[in-house]
Amino acid sequence: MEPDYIALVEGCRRHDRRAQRALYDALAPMAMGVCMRYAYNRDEAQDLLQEGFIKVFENLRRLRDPRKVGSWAYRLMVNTCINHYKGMVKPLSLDDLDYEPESFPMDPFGAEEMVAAMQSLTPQQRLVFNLVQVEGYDYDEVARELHCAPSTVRTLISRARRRLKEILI
Amino acid sequence: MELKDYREMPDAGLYEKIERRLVIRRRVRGAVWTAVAVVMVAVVTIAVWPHRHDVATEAEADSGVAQLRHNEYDAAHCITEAVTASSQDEEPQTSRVADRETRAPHPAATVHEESTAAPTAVSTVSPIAHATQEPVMSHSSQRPVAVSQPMPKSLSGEGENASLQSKAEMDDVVVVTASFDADPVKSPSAPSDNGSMFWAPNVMAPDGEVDDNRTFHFVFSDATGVSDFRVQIYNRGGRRLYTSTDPLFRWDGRHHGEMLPQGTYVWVVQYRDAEGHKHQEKGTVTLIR
Repeated sequence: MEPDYIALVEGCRRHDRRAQRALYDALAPMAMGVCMRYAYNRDEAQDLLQEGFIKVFENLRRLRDPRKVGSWAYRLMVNTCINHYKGMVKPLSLDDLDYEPESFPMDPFGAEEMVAAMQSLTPQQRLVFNLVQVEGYDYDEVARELHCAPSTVRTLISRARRRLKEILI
Repeated sequence: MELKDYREMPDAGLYEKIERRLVIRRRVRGAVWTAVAVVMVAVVTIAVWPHRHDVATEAEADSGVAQLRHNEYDAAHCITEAVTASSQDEEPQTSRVADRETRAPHPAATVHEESTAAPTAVSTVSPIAHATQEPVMSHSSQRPVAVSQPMPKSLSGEGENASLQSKAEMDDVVVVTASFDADPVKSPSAPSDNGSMFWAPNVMAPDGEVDDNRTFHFVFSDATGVSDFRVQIYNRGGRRLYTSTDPLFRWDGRHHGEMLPQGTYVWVVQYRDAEGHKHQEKGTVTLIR
């Protein structure tokens, strides 16, 4: 059963500690899942989680519809992760042009397996893989978000797919 | 399973860390805002503090008080009565007092210097609007005994009491009270509508470098309309040091060629403006060596 987000958000806006704790408990698993995908280990993921939740609590007043706090917080978490890693995305050499156009076959693998495998990617690969494969952005959108060229995105994603295949298959 | 729905439990105690950081951040924000407010108040205070009196001065001027203040007049400046009383007989006294007065800008002399329109670098110039509508004293027939003038109640002495009975006997010394108005005459902002207006500096520096400040003179907005002009300058003891009937006079700070010491001097002026209305003004000028 979904918690009463309207009451929780209202309570958080009034700095009610119990409401704040309850909202955290409701959103934390989702948030941790996001952070685990983008970070390379659990500690890093929990650091990102803290950053993300501080943003959630301090920006709650900007949320127009309290019922959407779940997806709003998800968005905030993803943005926190992107901001943390996007500085690492630098233009790559053009040697690596043999990218694989087809998408990665995600279904056969369990989530924990996937996440664990993703943690052996480089941060840039992992970031781009998340944005393309999981969040569903296309290459141009990702390129705009990361302030890099679409070719960089393509290269990174192909490397990520290749690496994951090596690990999982 | 859709990777987007992947969930994981964070460690226990993580929320407490989050809560603690939130509290600290809120306190820091509050302190920053308080500091900003304090700094702004301090800046404004420091900027305004040197000029705090200016506000009062402007308020006085703006009140449009277009008359000599009575307290200033009767209490402190009995010199006015005495002076104007003495001025009645100035002409007959000419020969007697000539040797004790500077006549440099001779009353009958024509304009000798063009007074500049704008006083330059005089430290403060106080515009004097013509406040009085009717003469303080009518000059026509009044005897110096000043029958109609009540003796100012604050007549007290730095010198001997002037008897005012007979101008012929009276010395130049007239009694004045000690409390000269140290401030320049406060100037109402609205000039009266019937006459010329002049500026009088309240500082003069005969040894200074600014030519305009080496002599004391009035700056009229229109000197051509002025008639029946007489200015007299006294020291604080009431001794008359200088007199002139030329509106464009310039006083060099000397008495019979002798340089006068640094100090405050009083000037009194009577004149008639272009419409024929009589005015009387007075003020002080500080001579700086």
